[in-house]
Amino acid sequence: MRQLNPNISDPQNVSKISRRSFLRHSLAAASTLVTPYFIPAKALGRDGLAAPSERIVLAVIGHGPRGRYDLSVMLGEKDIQFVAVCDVQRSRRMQAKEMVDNHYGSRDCVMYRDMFEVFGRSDIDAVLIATGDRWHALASILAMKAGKDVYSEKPCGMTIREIQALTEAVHRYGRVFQAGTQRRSQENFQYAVYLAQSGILGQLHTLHASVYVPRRTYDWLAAEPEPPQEECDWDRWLGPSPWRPYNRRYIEGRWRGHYDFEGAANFLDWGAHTLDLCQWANQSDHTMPVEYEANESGIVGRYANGVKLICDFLPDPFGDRSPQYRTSTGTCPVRFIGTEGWVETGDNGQIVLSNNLAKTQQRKFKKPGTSAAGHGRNFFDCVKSRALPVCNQNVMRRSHIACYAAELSWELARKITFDPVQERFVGDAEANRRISRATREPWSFNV
Amino acid sequence: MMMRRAFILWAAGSFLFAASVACVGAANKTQEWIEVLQSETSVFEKAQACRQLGEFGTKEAVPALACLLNHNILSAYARAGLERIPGPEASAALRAAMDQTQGKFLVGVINSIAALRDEKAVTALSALTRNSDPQVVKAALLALGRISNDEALPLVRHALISGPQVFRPDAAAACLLAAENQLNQGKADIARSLYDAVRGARVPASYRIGATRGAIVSRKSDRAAFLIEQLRSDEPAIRDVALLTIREIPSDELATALNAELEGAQRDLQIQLMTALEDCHNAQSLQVIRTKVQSDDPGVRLVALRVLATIGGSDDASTFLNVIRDHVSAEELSVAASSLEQMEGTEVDELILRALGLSNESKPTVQLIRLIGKRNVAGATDELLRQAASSDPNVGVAAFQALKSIAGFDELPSLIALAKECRDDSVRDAAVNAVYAACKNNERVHQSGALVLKELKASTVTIERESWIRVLALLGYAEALPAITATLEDADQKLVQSTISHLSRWPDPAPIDALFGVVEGDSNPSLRRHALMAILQLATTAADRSMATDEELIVWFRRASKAVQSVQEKRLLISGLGRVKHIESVQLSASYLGDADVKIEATYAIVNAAEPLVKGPDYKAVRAVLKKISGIQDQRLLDQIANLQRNIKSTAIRLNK
Repeated sequence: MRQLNPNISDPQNVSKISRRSFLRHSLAAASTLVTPYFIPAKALGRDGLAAPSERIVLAVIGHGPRGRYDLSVMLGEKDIQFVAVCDVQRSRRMQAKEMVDNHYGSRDCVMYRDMFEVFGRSDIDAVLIATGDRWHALASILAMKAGKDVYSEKPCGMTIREIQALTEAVHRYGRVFQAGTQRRSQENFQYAVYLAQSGILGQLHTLHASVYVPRRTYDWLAAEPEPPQEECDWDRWLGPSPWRPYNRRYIEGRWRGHYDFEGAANFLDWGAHTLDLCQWANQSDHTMPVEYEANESGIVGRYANGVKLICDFLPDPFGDRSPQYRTSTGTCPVRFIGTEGWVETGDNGQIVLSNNLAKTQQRKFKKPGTSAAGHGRNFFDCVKSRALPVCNQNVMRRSHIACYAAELSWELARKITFDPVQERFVGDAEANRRISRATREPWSFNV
Repeated sequence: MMMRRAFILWAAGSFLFAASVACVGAANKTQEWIEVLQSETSVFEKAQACRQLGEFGTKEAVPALACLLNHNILSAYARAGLERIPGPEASAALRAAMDQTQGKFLVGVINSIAALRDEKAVTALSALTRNSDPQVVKAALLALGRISNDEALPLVRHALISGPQVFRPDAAAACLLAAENQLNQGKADIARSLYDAVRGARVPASYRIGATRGAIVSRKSDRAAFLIEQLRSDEPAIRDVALLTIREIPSDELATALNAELEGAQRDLQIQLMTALEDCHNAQSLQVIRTKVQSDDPGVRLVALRVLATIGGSDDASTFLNVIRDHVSAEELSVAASSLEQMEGTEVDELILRALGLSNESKPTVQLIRLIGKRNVAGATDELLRQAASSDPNVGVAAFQALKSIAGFDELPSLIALAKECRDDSVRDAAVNAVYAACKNNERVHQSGALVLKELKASTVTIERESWIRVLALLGYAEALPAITATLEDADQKLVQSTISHLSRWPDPAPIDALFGVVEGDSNPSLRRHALMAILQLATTAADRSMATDEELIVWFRRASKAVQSVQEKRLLISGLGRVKHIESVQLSASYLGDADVKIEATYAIVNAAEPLVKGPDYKAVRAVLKKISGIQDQRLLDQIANLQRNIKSTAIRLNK
């Protein structure tokens, strides 16, 4: 029998796929974008929304820039309803409430400072986790423990161990999980992956994933007086991260780059997307590269099947991306190279092909940007059907851990070998020490 | 302000810097970090020392770190260090700390013990399950669940069944952790008994849901039957988790069970089960789904179609064709059409063609024709030509559009004949596009052009002549140019107007001279303007594609400049001049510097055209032009001008040496 989902695919049986069979999986989200899978038109209420019994009731945890964006996109879905918003910052809570209330034309959305109050509401089916990185894994796990399905922004955890813990919790509590790596739901990336998987590029040999130049600081910003807890709950903002003195710049978004608040030296900011696409192109959702070695311009990985993975550091990611990539393809490009040609694509939606393929395989796609619309739709459909979303826990686990392994080769400035089954570095105590980080009491991933 | 400390690592991509830091933090630094911990230095310094010890430190650092386990700020940093230091010393220190800490510090210590899965801590943890602090009890139970050795298992099981009610949810979570570990170790029976215990406990639903999933996957012989039993649960959440678990354990046996269950399931569950069959199905599943495609319930039918599109094969083409024929709903039609579009095999092509032959309603016919076009069915031309002659404009348009990708030279006479007979504008437009595509889609482009030219020469009907001119102009068929340009003299002003439009799209600048004839000789001002724009377009395209020499281009632009009047015309002219790297182009552009409407454009054109000239003998002439530029605010432009002036200076020095 055919096995269709990445997590149950037979690793021995990866082969060339037809356009039809590829589209069956990858375009599922796009196809349901227009007509929700389970809601026949006649079941819709007069207001165009799904009948209350058919709606997925949601809360958003964390309302920074990305949360705001996700919320704005998801609010457009007719068969869902956001009823609660949660943020440790009062101004953000109020912003989120206003956004939700304005959308629904009511004042019903409830604000929370404490996510546990949200998790305690039995009417909430699912949560959107869009906090800072330090909270993604733990908030997701706690939500699932409370019986909620989860859409979590990436990176879904700060360490390899957090990713493992998160994946285990998805299974342990029997929930639906979608990682916010929305490119798997976007047509230009799907098409590029199709070209790789179908054999049109020939035998794949090199995969390029663009990433930021890694950066990290261990500094603390100068201490400032803590605001009242109602304005910003600093202790809860820190969550599982170790304590440090308050500084308003952290809560304004300048936590990025700080070791305690961002895993893998910013590698996953793009790598969670681009390396994930390489995983997909190489039909490696069940595994990951076995070797990684950093150099001045990037990190070179190697899969067990011999395919090379090159994570290119882009010094000017929003400007000129040459010579590695065509600037015209937009931010976060990927390039897949086979014996018969290559394809490159990025956030502009443009497909760039090697000359020999340009005539026959060229397609035009709309600029996808960072839209999570189709990806959110896929999640909502799966909440209803209990199918696995396109970026489910198993897919996310491998691509995220591969990112952490790659970054670690940069951090240690040497070649490292990884066992994708044990998810440990081979004969490398120094690397294995960095698989996890302790959490600040009372927080724990042991839940 | 950043606090500046010795531990700063703002790597910012510095690979070598990272390497040196790794070196600095090597094991032999352990003593230095210990000294930091034992000094009177700041919390920040000590926090960094803890981290460094976690990354590089040896067992000698354990006592110094353990001393901080009661520190209000540094306890978490200390545990971070301890958790990472290899060897039994760290675990021993954490065990010892269970007697020396309380409250949140004790919880932290227990959490670290759980992270390290310290089996030697079970007795002490067991005692802590009776602690007066509820947070300590919870942490202890979960730690026991994580450790889950033979000693710990009865403790968590007992807490679930006989422990205080308030801690039963935590005991349930501990049992789930323990069962997971047992399952990973291949001890499925133990895992199953733990999962069953949680399923039967009085704990919140989320634990029972997780336990149900575990109980399914940990079963062996009766797994499918047990899963089906859960699908029949009265609790929606239990049904849901069973549905989710199907995806983890697909098998032929389970598919058979699901097929059977689908028959009698309630409507909503039917829909969910059909979707589950996408991930777990066998040969019989197809038959079940095919039956559901016939359902009276539109929701069931739609999902059945979608599932059939996923798991079915070309054998199901007729099912989808029936959907198109019956055209019940837009959603079903869309699923059927997209499924047929992606289906492989010539037998599918034949089925679609046969269905088209039998179709007598507009919408299905259009849909089938579109499918043929998308599938590029080679043997469909005769049928498509027949459909193209339909009296229904929608069918006609669809047929001509499909012929665009299929028709070639052999079909050209028929297409021309059909195009001549069209009475509907939209159909004629589609027909002419099909004629052009048929001309382009074959190796005999010249012969194709000749055929169309023959029609042009023979036709006296304006609309036909306009159509053939359009095709010939798009083809750029040189032999047709005299016949086409002859129409510029035609009394029918509408035809002249459209001819000029078509000539502006000629692939090379060949029509320019004829168009100048209109610009300079026609009495109709509108036609003159129109022709001028066409000239500027052709000349600009020729410049971009290097289809003319700079001298030819200059002649055209200079000649055109005498006719330009409107701002739009001037902008188009200047835009073209900017592409010609010739001093006359620079000078001609300069003549527009005094025109406020196009001053900026003229400056850009000068800068662009002059760029290579400043490095050669024309630099003086460029310098003279640059002196005329004034009043520019655009900083980017000013920078470019400054750059040109610098180059001029260096050229002057070089050439005057």
